[in-house]
Amino acid sequence: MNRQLILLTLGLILTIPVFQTPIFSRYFKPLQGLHVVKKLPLNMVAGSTYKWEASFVNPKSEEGLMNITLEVTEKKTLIGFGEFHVEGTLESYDNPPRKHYKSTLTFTEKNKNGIGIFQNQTSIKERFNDITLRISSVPNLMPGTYTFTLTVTLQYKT
Amino acid sequence: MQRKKMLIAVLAMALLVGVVTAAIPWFGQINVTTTISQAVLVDGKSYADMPIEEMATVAGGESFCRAHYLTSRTSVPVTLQFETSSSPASNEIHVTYLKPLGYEFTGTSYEIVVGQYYPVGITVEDGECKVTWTFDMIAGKTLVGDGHWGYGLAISLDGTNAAFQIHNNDGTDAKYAWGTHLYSEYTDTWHTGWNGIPPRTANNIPVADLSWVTCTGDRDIGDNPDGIFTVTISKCMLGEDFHWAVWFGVGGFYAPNNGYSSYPEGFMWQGTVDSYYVLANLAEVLTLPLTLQPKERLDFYICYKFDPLIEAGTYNIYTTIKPA
Repeated sequence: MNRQLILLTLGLILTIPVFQTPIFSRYFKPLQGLHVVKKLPLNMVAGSTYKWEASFVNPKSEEGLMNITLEVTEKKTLIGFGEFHVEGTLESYDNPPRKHYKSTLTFTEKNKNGIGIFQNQTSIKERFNDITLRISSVPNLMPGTYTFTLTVTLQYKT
Repeated sequence: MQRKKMLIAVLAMALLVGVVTAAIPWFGQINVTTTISQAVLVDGKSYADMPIEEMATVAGGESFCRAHYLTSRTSVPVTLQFETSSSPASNEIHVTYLKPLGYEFTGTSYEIVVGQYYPVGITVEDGECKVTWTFDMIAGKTLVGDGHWGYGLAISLDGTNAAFQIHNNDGTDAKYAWGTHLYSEYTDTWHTGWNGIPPRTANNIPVADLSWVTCTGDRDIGDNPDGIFTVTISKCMLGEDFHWAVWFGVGGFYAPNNGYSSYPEGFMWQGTVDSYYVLANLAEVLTLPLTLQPKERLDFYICYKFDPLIEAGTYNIYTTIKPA
């Protein structure tokens, strides 16, 4: 009986982090409302700033912790630290009478396996949320095909 | 006992599912793939086509000019650095990066001796790597007779003394046919063979033998019915600024357009820059590193000068322009 209890406890402990990985999150709790409002242009110029706007509906009517991650990759080139710069704003609206909130999202570039990723953590509680990212690069960025991946995760206390 | 275990297991599973479900974060992801191109283009081309490459086979003393342009496509200022190297490496290749100032001049020749006014249309154009003087000898006049024209364009590079003159032979240098476009260097005096200088001291070089200057226009109206003469000089021979003066001679027509020398009464061919010379601000040397403003286009040219003592041969010269 003790052995079974230990196994069960161990299973519980292990299961939580396993299920928290993006693979499981993607399928078990997709943030289905996340969609692009303003597209990034398919052709960009190094040194310039471009807006990328995405919107989503808060799945719960309670305060949650939002993690935004922007990852930039290029097939042939390793992107150096400081080659991109990201700023953002969060605009939120609640249910009618639709009060409007606007806040600045500050992104910090962090090292992830030698690649810089941009992260921001903000709490949200309104129903409708609109994220606007302003992505700029250094003028001497190596020309190429770059992929921008925006990941939004929401975590609630309950 | 078995049933009790099953109940515990089911309860544990339910608890597990509840905890896990609560622990899984809501997850959303979007991505986009875009092509990012170069911020600044050189001659409309990107890095793949750089650097600017020139090949020159030289014996020493040559120079040549190449025009280029930069285009900023960004929304921020870009600081650029220029670098030039050669293969084989040589310290005897002097490279200057210059920004043209768009010099131009339009006017008529100077008023001559009272009662002998023969206006000549003069246009000076700042072209791509060259400056062109156009002399319109007819300029609306009705000329009668089988006449002819002469011109002499003097250039000063230091603003003090003349450096050379381009002219068409008026017959005083017997070595060349009348009307041949000639180059004469000014040293202690002119060596054109005319303008009061004894023909025996003439030391002219036909323009056709020089790579940096070209001339057009026949001396006689029969061969040149439009009366147009041009002198085109490479910018690399003129530097950032220079002075110029021009003289015209007319002969062989019936009155009233005959026998004039179209220059001011007080003008002297002494080879000293005076008030009759015109200052031409042609270019300014680029200050490096250079900052290109958003969406700015910058036209510039590169002067390549080969020292007279350079080892003769073929040189590949590479210039790279990159954000600093």
